[in-house]
Amino acid sequence: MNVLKFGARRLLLFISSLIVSSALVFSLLRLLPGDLAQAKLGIQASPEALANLRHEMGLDKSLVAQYWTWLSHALRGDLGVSFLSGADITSEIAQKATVTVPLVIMASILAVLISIPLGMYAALRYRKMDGVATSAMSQFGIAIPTFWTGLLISTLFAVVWQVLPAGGFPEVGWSEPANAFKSMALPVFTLALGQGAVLMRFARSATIDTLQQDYFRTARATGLTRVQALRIHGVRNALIPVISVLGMQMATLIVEAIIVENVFALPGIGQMLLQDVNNRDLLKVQGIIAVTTSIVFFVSFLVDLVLGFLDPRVRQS
Amino acid sequence: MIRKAMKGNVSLIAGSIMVSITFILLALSFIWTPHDPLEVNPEDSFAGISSKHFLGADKLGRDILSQIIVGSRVTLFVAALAVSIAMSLGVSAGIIIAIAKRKYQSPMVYAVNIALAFPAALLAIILAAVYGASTITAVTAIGLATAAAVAQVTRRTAHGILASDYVLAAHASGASTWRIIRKHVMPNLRASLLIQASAAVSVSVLAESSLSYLGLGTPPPAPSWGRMLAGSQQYLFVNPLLAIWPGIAIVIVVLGFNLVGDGVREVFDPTLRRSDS
Amino acid sequence: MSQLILETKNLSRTYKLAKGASGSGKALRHALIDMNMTISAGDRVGIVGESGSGKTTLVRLLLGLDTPTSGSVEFKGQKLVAGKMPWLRKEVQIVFQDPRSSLDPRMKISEIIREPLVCLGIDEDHDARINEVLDSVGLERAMRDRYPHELSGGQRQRVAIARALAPRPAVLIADEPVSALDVLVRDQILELIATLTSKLGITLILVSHDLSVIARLCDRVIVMKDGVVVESGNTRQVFDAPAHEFTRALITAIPRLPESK
Repeated sequence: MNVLKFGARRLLLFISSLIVSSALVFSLLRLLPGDLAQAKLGIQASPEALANLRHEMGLDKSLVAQYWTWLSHALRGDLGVSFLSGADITSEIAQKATVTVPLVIMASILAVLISIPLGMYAALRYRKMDGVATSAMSQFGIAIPTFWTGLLISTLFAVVWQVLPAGGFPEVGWSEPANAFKSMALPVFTLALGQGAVLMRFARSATIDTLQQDYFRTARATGLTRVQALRIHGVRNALIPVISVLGMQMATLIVEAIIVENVFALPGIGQMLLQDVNNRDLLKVQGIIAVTTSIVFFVSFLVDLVLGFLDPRVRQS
Repeated sequence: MIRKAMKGNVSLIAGSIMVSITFILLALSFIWTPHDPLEVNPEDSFAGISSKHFLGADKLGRDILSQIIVGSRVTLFVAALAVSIAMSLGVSAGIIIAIAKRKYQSPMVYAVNIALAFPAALLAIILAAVYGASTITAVTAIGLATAAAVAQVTRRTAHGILASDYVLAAHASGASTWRIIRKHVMPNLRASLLIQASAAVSVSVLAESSLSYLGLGTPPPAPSWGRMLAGSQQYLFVNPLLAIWPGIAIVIVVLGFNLVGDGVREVFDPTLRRSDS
Repeated sequence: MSQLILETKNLSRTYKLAKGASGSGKALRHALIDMNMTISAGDRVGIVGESGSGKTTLVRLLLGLDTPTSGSVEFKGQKLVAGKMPWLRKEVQIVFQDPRSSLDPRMKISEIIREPLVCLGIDEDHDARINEVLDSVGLERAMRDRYPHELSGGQRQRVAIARALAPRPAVLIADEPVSALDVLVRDQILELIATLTSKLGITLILVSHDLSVIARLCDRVIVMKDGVVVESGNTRQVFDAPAHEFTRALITAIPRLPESK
């Protein structure tokens, strides 16, 4: 299949996933009890006031019509306004994204940078003590809940050594880059450790595979050491599964980012989402979830494209 | 048979020990705890490790060890329910997709892929926004999210089994689809299901503790490990030890079930087995 | 003249390739084209061809496990419809190429042989029948409670033959029955198939890429290439005077020991 056609099909898949998943979230939040108007006005509201508000919010229309109104606005970048604060949801998300997006991107990069060399090392030495110890470390990394990693790391760096802040973010955000990076350091590290441990397993097994391939043995037979031969064949072969797993893990990564933001009191999308959930600000919750799932599908779309370029076999399936 | 499987299988041995510890804690929670886990004791506030409080006490002077023992109930209860939902839904969905006609397969695979974009915590957040956080929303969210992952793996494995010569031979012997599922697919799926179930327990315990930490799990007063950790965070500067114990408990459970899964995989997949004697 | 048992009429099977695998969306592969053949009761027919020649497609169609794109397969004059003829299973049985994959690893030998007896509702004492077929393929009855992985390759193929014979079929299809086996056990298995089919009066259809295997067992041979029959006839005649160059190539491909002087 040619690359263009492959890309077009994946694009179609991406768009349809967005529509289906947003419809799903929409109906989950609307079909279940908890009328938006009631939520806004409280239990004591008079029936007339409720009816008025329902009409104003379009709640008296059919669900399909409501979804269509919401979707057509959302596509133009308008996710509506918060019930509680009346603030514009889109601009609030955009503002909080300046914390969450860099957090996720930096953590992903760091996770790949940790996992590939460690995974390759564990594979090279997988019958030796240190190789086994490296794999055992990744087992631990997978088993430790992210928020506990965060707690332990902040205990060490903020409480015991007092070198980095335990939480928070400069009021003025990135216009104070030094402080912003300092506040980001521990959250990024926390997120990257958990992800890196998962990715490392895949880098390790991909490398063990490579070590057993004929082309690797041929490279060795020409006089290259194992490390030299791995540099040629191993990195690319380890990178492909790591990238595809990172793509599949994006949803999990965003959820972990939500948790990490709460551990380190980072004013990002995750922290906002939890507040909105506690306030039952349903329209805002819906907007935030729509945005995060869009990002998840977009990333897996991008990863598919990248892998399609890197590995012709992917295009066939 | 068990002894043979255990031999030289470090993962299985270590995992079984950790899982046993977990169940001993659970059993203990119904029989005996050093103190009432909810008993407030102001003079013991932030008590250190002592003969009275083996693992110390929190701000209200409640015994940490007792809370950890009783906390195992919530975690394992949620995990057990969620895994039951995940396995029954996921395995049947996976098998149905695998045996369906090709034209019905791709929409179902598509649906599973959509579901995979909603991890447990995200689903729990949506449910909590509508219903308010509770044990039920946590169990439902974890169960459904894990079911999607189980369905995906089961579909792939079942697909491989259905494409095998022995299933073709069963067709040629006149076996019905139902018989093929019962007599050929299920028995050959068993190893994979065992591995998936133990992985699902780990994932569920992690998810439950995260939800409890975020305040989206079982509400107080029932002690839970995640909420104990959330509570400890305020007092990191006063008593960092409080942030250690519940975490260790979580890691033992998660690591234990992960290792058992790896160990089982090693038993069933001879290519992974270290040079057999 | 013996009774006509299996017949294919203009049998064709076309596969749609996975979309886009070769650029256009409608790639087709003609696995079998207009095949006509007749097999009478008691025949021993060999079907020979390279991989991809349509042999396996033909086997699936003869077993009624697949639907032809056009044309038909008839068993004793009755047209086969895929998935709708439990009666056919009793009549046509198969031995697959690789007994490592054709025997369910989680079933005991007795359960494997019992499967067709149960599924086809064979009305006799199943345990007695299992013992009987085990005897006839030369396996000890004690093997009943073993699992396939405890047996050697040759023993496993004997189990597969026992399973095929258990429901007393009229036709036995053997699809490359020895190509996955060690050279030393091949002869024994071929010998077993030859003896059993002739003793029980079973019609044999032997599919192989190896003409020498067919020459040993079959009276008649059908040579296939790219889904088309290129030559067919009496085995001896085809061997001595091959009409098609592909057949000649197959004959010269048979390894021979250098003749000692």
